[in-house]
Amino acid sequence: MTLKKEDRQEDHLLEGAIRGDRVCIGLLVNLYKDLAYSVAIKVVSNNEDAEEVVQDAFLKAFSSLGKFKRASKFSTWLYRIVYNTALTKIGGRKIRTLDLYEQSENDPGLVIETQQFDLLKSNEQKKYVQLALGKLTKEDSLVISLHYIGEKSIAEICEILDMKKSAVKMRLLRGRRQLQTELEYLLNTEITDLL
Amino acid sequence: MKHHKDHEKRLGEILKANGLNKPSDDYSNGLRDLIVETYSKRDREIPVGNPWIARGIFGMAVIWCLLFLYFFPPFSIQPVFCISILSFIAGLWALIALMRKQADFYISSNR
Repeated sequence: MTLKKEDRQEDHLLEGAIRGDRVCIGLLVNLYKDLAYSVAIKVVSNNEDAEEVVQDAFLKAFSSLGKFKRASKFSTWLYRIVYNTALTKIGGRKIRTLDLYEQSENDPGLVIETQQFDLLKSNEQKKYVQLALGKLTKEDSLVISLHYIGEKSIAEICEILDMKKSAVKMRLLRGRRQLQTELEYLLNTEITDLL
Repeated sequence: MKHHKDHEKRLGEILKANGLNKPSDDYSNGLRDLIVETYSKRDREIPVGNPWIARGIFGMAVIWCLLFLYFFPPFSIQPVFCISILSFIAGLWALIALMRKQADFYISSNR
C-alpha cells in the first residue's frame, strides 16, 4: 500500500518534471540524491568524484526525461544512469570484487579489538554501520544499500547493476551474512540475534 | 518465516537510519538549483528581438519583389518556367501543412 502510494507520488512528480514544473523537479532531486550519492561513492570511493558523478547523472537523466519510456520506475532508471556514470568515471573497469573468505583472511581490520567496543555510544551507531558496510565488497554493499535503503526488488537491482538474478541473490545473502558478523562485533549488545 | 521477515525489517530500519552516505547540504542545494534552473527553462519565454525591425525588413523584401515583377514580367518571357515554379511552391506549402497537421495529431494523442 505504502509502496503504491510512493509510486503514485513518483509518477506525479515525474509528470510535473516533464512539464518543466520547478517544484516537481526540485522534489525529485531531493528524493533521490542521497541514495544516488551512496551508489556513486561506493563505486568511485571519494567524495569529489561521487559529487561529480551524481551531478552528471542527474543532468543526463533530466535532459532525457522526455525519452523515458516508463518500462521501469524512474528511480531504477536514475540509479542505473548513476551506476553507469560512476563506472565510466573509474575508467569503465568493473569494480574489484573480493571473495568473502579471501577478504576475511586478508583483512586485518576485520577483527575488531574488544577494547574498541567500549567506545560505542548510541550517537556513534551511524559510524559503525557505515564501517560495517565499508567492510563489504563494493558490489555487495551496493546490492545491500539498494535493497534495504532504496527498497529495490531483486529484479530492479538486476536492472540497475546489469547483473543476473542469481548473482544479486548471492550477493544479498553473502552481504547480509557479513553485515551480521560485522555488526555483531561492532554493535554487540544491540545487534545480537538481529539477523 | 515471520522471524526472518522481522529481522529483514529491523535490518532495513537500521540501514535506512544509519547506512546512507549523504552529500553535504551545500552540495545538495547546489545540485537542486542547477537541475531546476537547467530544466525548467522551457517555462521561460524565448527572447525575441524588436518585432518592428523584422516587419521593416519583410516589407522591404516584398516591395523589392513587386518592383522586380513590375520591371521584368516573367510570364511574358517564359510562362512554362513560371508555372512550374508556382506549382512547386504550392506543392511544398501543401506538404508542410499536411505534416504540421499530422504532428499536432501525434502530440495530442500522446498526452
